[in-house]
Amino acid sequence: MKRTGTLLLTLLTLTLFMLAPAMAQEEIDETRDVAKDASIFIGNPVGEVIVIGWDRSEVRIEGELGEGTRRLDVEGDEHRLVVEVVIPRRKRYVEDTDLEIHVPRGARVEIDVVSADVRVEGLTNDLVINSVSGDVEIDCRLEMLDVDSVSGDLDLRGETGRCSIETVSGDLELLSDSIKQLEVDSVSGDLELNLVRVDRLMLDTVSGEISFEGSILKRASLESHSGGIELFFDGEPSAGFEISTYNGEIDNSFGPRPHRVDRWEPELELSFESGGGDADIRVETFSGDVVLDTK
Amino acid sequence: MTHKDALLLLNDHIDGVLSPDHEDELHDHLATCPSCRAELDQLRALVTAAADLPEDIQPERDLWTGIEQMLEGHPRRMPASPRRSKAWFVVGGIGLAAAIILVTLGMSGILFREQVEIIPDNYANTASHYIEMMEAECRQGEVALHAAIDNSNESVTLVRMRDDIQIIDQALEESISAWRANPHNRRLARLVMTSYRFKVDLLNKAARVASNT
Repeated sequence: MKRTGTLLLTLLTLTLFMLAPAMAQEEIDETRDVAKDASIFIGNPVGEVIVIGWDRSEVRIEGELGEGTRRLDVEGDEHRLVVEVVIPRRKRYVEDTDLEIHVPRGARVEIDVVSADVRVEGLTNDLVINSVSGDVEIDCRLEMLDVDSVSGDLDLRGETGRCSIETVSGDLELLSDSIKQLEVDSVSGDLELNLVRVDRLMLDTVSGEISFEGSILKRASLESHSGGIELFFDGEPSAGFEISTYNGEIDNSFGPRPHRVDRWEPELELSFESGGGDADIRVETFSGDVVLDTK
Repeated sequence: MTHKDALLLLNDHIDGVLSPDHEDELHDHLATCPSCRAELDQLRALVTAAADLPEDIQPERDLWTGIEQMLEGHPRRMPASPRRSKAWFVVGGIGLAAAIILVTLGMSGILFREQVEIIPDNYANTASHYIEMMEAECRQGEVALHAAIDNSNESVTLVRMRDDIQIIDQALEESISAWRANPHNRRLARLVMTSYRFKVDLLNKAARVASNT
């Protein structure tokens, strides 16, 4: 009797083991009606998240749930929808879940991932992305963009009203026609910005290199410890400059040369006005070199 | 109101000490900024968590009193709040759970962002005091982070974050050394403060990653 019980238990366990992956690897294809400006939260720890804006008042979720995940939650109403991959508590390793989600163009979207890569295109409202190590690609014309990342690389294209980016070691490549306000913090990640126009620009790095190409219309504050800062303008800029470096070099192609602040210290300072002096540009480094030039 | 302006005001908003004008501006910003709303929710959760911490954890030293004394004559900027003080002090308990570290770093990080803006006239002494204070804060966060890395099966992300902390430490070493030789140089003091802000933010992020690893 005891033997039979053990055998049954073993068979049951084996069956569950065989069934579990099949359940976990299920295909996803769900559609929900939502408002054109609905708030949509998407959470997927590992794998890939692709979000595409479209003209329908619908959210369509396609993909495949990775092995080891528990389920996909799709909850909420037409104004707020949560799409979240749920993994079992204390589970360290799960297979990738790949999601492709179509949302209304005007939706406000927030995406939370750990190592999943994120690609977003065609949105026009607010976008918030929190990522640890996944790469992020965005091609949108947004009202507001907020990205918080640790080590993933960021590739941003399009136009944005307000844009705030924090990265630790991930590099940022940004190509945009117009941004009203851009704030970027980076520890060691390099920032490569190609902006036709930006009204307000605030960039802080520790060792990350900053390369900026474009026009600054109102105000810019760029600060770095050891990372170099290169500004390449579209022609002679209309701006007042306050540049200083404690232990780096300043190379200015269209204005006066820097002078030493104190004969006993290496600190260099350069203040001058160019064009009509419309914008205010402040650049400060500890040991990073500063280059001002035209494209 | 910029994103960073709003973040600076969240603490006072929770403490109920914000001016009506600032309240209105913050309210307008929150209505359009999901990120700041999330930050506010997180901050409320931190305050609640801090309030729930055991009463018998004693601070190693009374940092807040020191800050209050130092800022005498500048009451507008950092009103003392028992909740905030408590969270600030709890960092003294090395070896507390990652969640508590997150609470303390979160609170001190927000406080520190305010401090960057409020350095009063007695520049050299004030900057010196802040720098010592931030060093102590960071040192304790680092102890917790190293312990978390040791227990996290060598998480690649955490190891990379530790490398970045070393980059910031190198920056701090260089800028503090230069600043000590020129204690009245505001630019150097600001660069030091910026590096500390990066370090607090990074330790905060690392604590979050560690708690999920």
